[in-house]
Amino acid sequence: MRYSKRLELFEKLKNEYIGYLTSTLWKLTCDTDIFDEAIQYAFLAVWMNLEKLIGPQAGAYIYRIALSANSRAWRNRIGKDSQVLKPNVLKNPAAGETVDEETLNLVRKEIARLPEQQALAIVMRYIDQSDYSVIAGKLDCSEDTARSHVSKAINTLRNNMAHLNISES
Amino acid sequence: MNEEKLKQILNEIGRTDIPPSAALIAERASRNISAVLKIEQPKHRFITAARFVAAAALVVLAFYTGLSVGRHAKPLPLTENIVAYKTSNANADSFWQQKAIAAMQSRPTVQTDISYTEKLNAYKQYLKEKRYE
Repeated sequence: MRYSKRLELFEKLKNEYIGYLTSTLWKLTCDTDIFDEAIQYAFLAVWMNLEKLIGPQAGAYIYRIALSANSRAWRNRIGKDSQVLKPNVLKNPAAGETVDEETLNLVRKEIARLPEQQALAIVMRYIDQSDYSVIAGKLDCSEDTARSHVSKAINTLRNNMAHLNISES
Repeated sequence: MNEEKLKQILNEIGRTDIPPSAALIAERASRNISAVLKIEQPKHRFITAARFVAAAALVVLAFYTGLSVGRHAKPLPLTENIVAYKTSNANADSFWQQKAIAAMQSRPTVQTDISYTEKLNAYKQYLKEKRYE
């Protein structure tokens, strides 16, 4: 494909998916720095995978791009000791609202570390509030398999967060 | 953390509002990547890799075609073997007839291997001799 044609197609796809990418990546990051980095990775991935985004699997592929960008941005923000390099979020665990924000951020971080299929399933199910039939269509599998992916993702998240002692209230 | 609590947290993440600053960041990133991609646009070169290969292939093809034609070409016919039919008995040895036969004969090559050593003892006429001659 000629460069000018690729550029034209990229502009079209970018305008089409910018709303979705902004919404999903903000929900998964909720931090301006991580979001900024993730959205740049996402646009770069759209440019590098233009051919895949005009095919029949474009709907599923944009999810993959968003999640891959999210994981990459989170990885860059996590230090060697696996702690998020934003202490202001975890600063005051005594206050009720801050604890909630802390928990949300920990769940976001754990979503970024999930295997691809599980992350896709859980984002489609809980972040985008999609039905299992829609998830199955986008993942190209049966509804039972989609349920299985979501269930596995929740179990993985629970196991990964078991040691964190988050209050049940 | 139990499963219900986790689902509640996930639903809460899903309900997160998108602040205007996020949209602005996305717009800025979008503009930046478009600008970079336009700057990085490759220039159109006349000699591309495909054209270079095509030209090289053409040269090789022309060379081998010429070689094969040369190998299978017949030598020039000798004058004795040529049967010249007379168009008219009256002009059998006419000027043009002689001209045509002469044209068909092989031409003598130019003598280029001159030995200058033979001329060493040759008599050289001096200017004086020339003058009073």
